[in-house]
Amino acid sequence: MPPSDGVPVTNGTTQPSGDVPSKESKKSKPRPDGSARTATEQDIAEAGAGVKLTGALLKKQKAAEKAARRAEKVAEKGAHAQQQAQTQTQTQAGPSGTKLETPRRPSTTKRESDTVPHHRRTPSSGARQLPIRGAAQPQPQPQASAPHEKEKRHELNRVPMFSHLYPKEKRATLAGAGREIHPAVIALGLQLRDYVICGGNARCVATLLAFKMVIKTYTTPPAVALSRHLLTHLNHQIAYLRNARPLSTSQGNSIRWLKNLISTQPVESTDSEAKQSLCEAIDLYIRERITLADEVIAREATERIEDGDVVLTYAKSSIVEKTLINAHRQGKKFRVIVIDSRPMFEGKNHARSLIRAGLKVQYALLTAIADIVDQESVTKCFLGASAMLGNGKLLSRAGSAMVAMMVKECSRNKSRNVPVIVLCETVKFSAKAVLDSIILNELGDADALVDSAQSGVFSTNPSLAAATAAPSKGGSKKSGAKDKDEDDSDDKGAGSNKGLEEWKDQPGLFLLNIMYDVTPAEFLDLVICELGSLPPEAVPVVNGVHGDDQALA
Amino acid sequence: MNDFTWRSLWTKIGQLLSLRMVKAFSFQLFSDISLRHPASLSTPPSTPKPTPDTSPSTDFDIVAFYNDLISRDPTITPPIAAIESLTSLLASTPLTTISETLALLSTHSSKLLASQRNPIPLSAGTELFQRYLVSSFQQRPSSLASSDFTALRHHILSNSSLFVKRANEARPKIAQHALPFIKDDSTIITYGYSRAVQALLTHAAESNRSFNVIYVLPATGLSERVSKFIAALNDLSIPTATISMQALIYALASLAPSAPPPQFIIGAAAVLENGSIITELGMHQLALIAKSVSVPLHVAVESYKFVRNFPLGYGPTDLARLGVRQNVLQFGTGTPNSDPKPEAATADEGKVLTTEAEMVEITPPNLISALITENGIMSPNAVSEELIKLWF
Repeated sequence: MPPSDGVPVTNGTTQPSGDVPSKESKKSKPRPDGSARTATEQDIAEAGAGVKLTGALLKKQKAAEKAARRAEKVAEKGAHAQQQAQTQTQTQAGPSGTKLETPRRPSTTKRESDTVPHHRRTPSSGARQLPIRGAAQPQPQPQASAPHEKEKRHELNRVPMFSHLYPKEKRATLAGAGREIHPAVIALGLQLRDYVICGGNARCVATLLAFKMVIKTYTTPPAVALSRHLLTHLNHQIAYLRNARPLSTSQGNSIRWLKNLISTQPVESTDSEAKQSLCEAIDLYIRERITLADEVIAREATERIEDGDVVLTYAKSSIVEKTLINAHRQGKKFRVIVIDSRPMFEGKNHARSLIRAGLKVQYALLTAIADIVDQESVTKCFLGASAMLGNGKLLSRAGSAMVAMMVKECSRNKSRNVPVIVLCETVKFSAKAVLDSIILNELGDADALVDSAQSGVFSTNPSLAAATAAPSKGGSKKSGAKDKDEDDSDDKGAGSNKGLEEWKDQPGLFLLNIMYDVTPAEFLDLVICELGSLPPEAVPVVNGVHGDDQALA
Repeated sequence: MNDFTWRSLWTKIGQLLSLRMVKAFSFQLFSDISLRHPASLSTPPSTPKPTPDTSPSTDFDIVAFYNDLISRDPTITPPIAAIESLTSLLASTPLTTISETLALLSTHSSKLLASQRNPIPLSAGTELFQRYLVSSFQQRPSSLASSDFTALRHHILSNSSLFVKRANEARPKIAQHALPFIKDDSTIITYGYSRAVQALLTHAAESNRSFNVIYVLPATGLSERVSKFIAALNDLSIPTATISMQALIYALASLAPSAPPPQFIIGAAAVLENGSIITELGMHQLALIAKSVSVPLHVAVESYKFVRNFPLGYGPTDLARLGVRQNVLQFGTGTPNSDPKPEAATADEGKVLTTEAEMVEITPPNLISALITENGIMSPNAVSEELIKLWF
């Protein structure tokens, strides 16, 4: 790290973490004075005016805020484009790594530590300041011309069809965290960003626990109602988390629940009472909607496993793992096939924990699915879920749709009915109806596809290529998943002995690491949730039962 | 699954965790959870856990009562007979607590189910009634909230008879709903015996619709009930033809092309959660034919026959989950007439369906065009919706 980095970084970290013990006292202090004044004042004004607001008005207000935020983003984007046009005219030093790196560092940290908190705070606390922010926008930009060259390049390498999924702003960083971001949230944000905490349930629980910490250390500023101010305070945290990684459906649902709960806190209750009840409610929510729900689902799903079954699963799902281990503990004799794929290889973990539990596991890559389904008489397919959509479709790790389809289609030809069973807590049910995998998705880091261990396969050195391809049988197969991209790279990289490493500098080469896909309802037989077994078409009914219909918004 | 404890535990935990979500949990899962998570779901210290052993003793013989009911009244369906038996069980046993009542009901339900070779239709009734009881405990009128149990019990008993009465009104309603489906001069093909279909056709005939009925006969031939039904139709001057299963496709092709399109209207012993129906053997085949010649298949069924059970297919494992065991395949090398007596004729002979006449079959939902119930016409997918509404 360059020394110029040191100041903002320590600034960013020590300040929030330093006041962990004395959070309550400190938290309330910096708010009223200093730069945060406008925000707080506005909060107060807002809260004061809003005490008598009805739920509908509140909703309207929220919607307005959201619209304003969106408008702001658009404006930002516009400024960005302008910026690019500028930089394009400026002749820029070539992409010599170090030279580019050093000027970039300070400018980014500057942007993030100085301007971002400033921005961050304003958008969520007061959306009405939009014009001011628009004016303030260009100020830091001229200095940041160097990174934009790189960014522009990067943008060129974006897959146009998925352009709406690329992060609009910089991913959350440690230094970029505003002063109001709770250390627990910062830690969680980084963990989410780096996929340390991964999986719908884990993310949901971690988020709720982090918010519990936030609530515990929160003190309401004088003359504001907790139900009003805590919400705005929480919005900052949510924005940070969303910046780290787009929120999953489970996170979204539970955050919506929490916000609703906060806004309905009685105004007359004291801070400590309200905080206590909120924390208890969060604990209860985690227990009921996730811990107990998992328990219930695992039991129900275990009953579906019979002796002699060959169970196919894809990637990793905590609840599928629990079910399989549960069934094994009950003495059922069955075999498991774990299908896995690049680039996350979550199935390895899954297979490992199943083996540790004493199960018989076969591990194969997604590319081998046709053979597996054909040769091994698979009798059941269990899938985890990221979300069950309102039209009965399943949103899950990219590749699930392929697995479900292969299982259904292959079994159709063989007079064998292989049911595809989805295990999903109702907290992951969404009222959104999605038709394809394009609209509602998430992009992973495209660099994850550039596996350094794989580079030999693409190299011109035949002996090296053979050497790497032979032992890791998956090597060539894995690359097959991304035919187009790698063909490109083969053609272009052949002469210069380049793999995909410098794909960003290769014009016309796109790398796409998509995280989820949507499985149509006709490939699913059964959804097991804590309410019992349902056909996928019944998902909207359950939404109705749970009053999660707000998810439509 | 431990059938006894979960139902009785249910109310207790429901009171404990008043959150709506928890109430929505499938009951059967509760007993174990509460045992496994003593810390998270603390049981109230005062109430002891009810077990099947604590079920109060009674000299009421529910099986005999049920059998008597079935034999006395030919129009009564198994679920209703089961509900009536449970109601009279409640009436004849003086009980003082809710948990006693529930324990009594669950033990006797399982006793009743165990006595039947095909418990699927029955289970719809017993489960529905127990669910109904629990919800009437929970949603009892505020006037009874603080009163003693006898008042509550009286309320429940009067409600129960109302429940049976309403269930009995289902068939006329089905007949009304189905009337627009029956066009003049159309042909209706039916199979098996169903009270709902009989009521439906009778109602249509009484409403001066003129239509033909083709009765597809199973391999076992004309049963007494079916011949009575056909005679009743003939009395209403409805032309009927009986054909065997083999003749079905040719019969369909022989219908006048100018006539309104034919349709299948059949009954069902039970409807499962994904919309599959349980019927006598042969229906699946019939449904496949109907599908392949694009003749709609309508199922006339009362909504109390909906069972909360989700089959994954239509094979013996799915039937076994429902408590029915039957063996169609009996390989042998002797002459076809040698009647191979399988080894099943031993210990639990009573539980295995042996004759083809009483064997049942699951027909998957994709072959069913619509269900005609007293709550309206619904697609097979809507069954789970109805069940969720009913149970949560």
